[in-house]
Amino acid sequence: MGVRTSRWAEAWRDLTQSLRLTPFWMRLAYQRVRGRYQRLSLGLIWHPLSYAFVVISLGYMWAAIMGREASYFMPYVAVGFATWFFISNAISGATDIFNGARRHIMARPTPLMMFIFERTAANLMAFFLEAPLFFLVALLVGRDFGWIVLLALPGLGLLILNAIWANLFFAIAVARFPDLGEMVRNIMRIAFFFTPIIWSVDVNPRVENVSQWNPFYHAVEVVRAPFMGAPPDRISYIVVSAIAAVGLTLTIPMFVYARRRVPYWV
Amino acid sequence: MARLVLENVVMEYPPLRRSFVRSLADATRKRAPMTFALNNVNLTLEDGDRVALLGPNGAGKTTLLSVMAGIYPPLRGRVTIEGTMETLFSISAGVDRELPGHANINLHLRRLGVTGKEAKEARAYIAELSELGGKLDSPVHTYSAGMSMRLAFAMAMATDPEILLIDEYFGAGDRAFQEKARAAMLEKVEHSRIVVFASHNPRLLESICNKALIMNAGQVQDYGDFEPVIARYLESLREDPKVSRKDMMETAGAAEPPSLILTPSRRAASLKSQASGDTPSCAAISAAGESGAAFFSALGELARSADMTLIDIPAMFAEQGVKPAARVTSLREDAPATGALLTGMRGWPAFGSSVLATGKVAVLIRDPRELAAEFWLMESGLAEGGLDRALAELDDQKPSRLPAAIAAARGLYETLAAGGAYSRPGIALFSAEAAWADPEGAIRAIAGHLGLAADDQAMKAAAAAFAPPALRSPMSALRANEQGQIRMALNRIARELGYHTPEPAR
Repeated sequence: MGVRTSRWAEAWRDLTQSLRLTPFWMRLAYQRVRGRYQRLSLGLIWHPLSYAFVVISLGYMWAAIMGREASYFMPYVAVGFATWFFISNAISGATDIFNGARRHIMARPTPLMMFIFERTAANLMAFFLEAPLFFLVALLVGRDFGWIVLLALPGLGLLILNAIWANLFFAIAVARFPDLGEMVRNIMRIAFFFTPIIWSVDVNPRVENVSQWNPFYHAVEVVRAPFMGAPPDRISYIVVSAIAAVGLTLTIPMFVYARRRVPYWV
Repeated sequence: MARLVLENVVMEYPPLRRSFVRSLADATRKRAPMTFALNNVNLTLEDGDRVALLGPNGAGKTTLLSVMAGIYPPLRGRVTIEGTMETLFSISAGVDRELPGHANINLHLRRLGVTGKEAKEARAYIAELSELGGKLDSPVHTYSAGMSMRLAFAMAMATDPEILLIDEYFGAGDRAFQEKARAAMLEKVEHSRIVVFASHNPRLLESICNKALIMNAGQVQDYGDFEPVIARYLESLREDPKVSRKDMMETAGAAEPPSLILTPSRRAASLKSQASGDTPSCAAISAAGESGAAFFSALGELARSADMTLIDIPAMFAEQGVKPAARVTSLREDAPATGALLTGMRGWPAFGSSVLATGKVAVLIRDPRELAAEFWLMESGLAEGGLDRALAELDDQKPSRLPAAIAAARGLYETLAAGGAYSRPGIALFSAEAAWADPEGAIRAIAGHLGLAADDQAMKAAAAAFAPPALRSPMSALRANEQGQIRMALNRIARELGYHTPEPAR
């Protein structure tokens, strides 16, 4: 464990140790999701329940505002919201990963990737708790998804890959520069309105063109499009894969460099 | 074989955490100023090393432990860890108060990667040690503070690593549990190959450690066998005017009887070496068991080894004809005495015990030409860390919150000593600076302690000697002749109480 061990070897050991601790961080992730509803008698059921409340009321209202039929727009909102939460949690939610794990980090030598996996897993669990609503809402408005929804899975896989690097990137960046956290959260709040979640791009061609430049649009599309009955655009897959590739390429060396310093920063 | 090696370890602190704007600003400068949390630390620990880690607050103890654990990778230098390691730093950190005890235990075992049969055994052990039983099914937030503490502690004790790093943590639960906790702790230490233990509790350190490491300002000030290092350390603290009394108190150890780490004060040392040409050695003893008899015999050992005069207080009382039979009993058994403090020549506590489990004991000592020491009697109301608090309050200039008996008595002693009334070896009774603010109270308190009624002849005589204004002024505010009057009065009391009359100064 000497310092002369290379940073890369140390980072690799961090990763393998983190993977070895999978049962531990899976449990922590579950507890993170469960914890919010800990003392309630309905417990975890509150999560899909709250989600149903938001999605059904907002879906219904925005269908009316957008002048779209509810049978299309309510599932659209239901899937889009959950996907957006997953994406935005990987960014603005990541800002407190290391600072929030301070007591763990300082109490004993702990691999850091564990906390990235833990947070990604927690966000994924939340997503899967919301997913049944996609189908319930579809049932409610009499829409049949069909087998094409299975195409959402590879899309989700790409998002998970992106979520891992985004979680890592923002966790490290904010540990180093705490002020970034506020900045990032503000940007993500606005990004929500710039991304077609409660509106759709087909309102007019200009909006559709501009949205092509919004990476969040493509990220949402790779999961949402299959639910809307069409495979996602090839361009969406390309954009999301490219972001994953670039993100991982940038973040891995960043982690290798920052790993030894994070305990000092938090 | 476990090993823990630190080579030229350097750490900067506060490490690189600055605001964004500051960071940019710093980046434009050549180099930000550095302070070292650890400066060039070299250390090799091997099987069988049980190291007491001591040093004033801010000396780098916790940082050093974190570096040893691998939590802080050192910025320069090298740390080599061979062997399984466990840290007991903040043992409650891993407890989720929303989860039941069982779930917390499982989570903890997963964190440690303990599975299968080993995990089952650990669970049983934790349940047994924590004494929580069926309560483990309830969420931790329904526990009392003592129960949560017991759970956290038992969890921490569940495994046997080769290298064990401990940051001060003791004080779990009630007294019955304390004993159990101690036993568990010792067992865990027994099972490990290397232990580094940062604590202010010398009794615990004494019973565990064979080496001592003194940190000061990020550097190793001293390292080696336990007793000589501790002796040098206490000595160095005494000579350092910046060390607060409270620090000293903590270091000298307040919490537990009947243990004693005793170092002759500098002045005593010089006096003694003048007298005999010897350098007095430090003596550290610990008495097993809690009986007063064991304690006194341990003190006897100490006295012999340090070549000091040991005075058994009960015997002393008897010898002086103070008819304190009842009082003596109460010193050794049950109330009101619940603590004792042994101080060095300059008033630094060398040994303190604020909580004597059964109110037994009260100590010894003193030959003013050897080891100057005194003891304080504590009222039973001061049990449970009371002495530490009392001292802290003294430091905070809030003596009014001290029980009058303690507050008052020191003044009397100091007066007697300063007036030369007291050159014979004997005991110094009671004390505290506060007495200087209240000589009248001092007289009354000491008389009370010795079982004299307020209308006792000696009391009356003493009081009569005081000019009324002087009685209400702090001693230090009085003119020399007024001080002299008071001293005379106090001397008179001393005589009345059966103490010897002053001998001419030699």
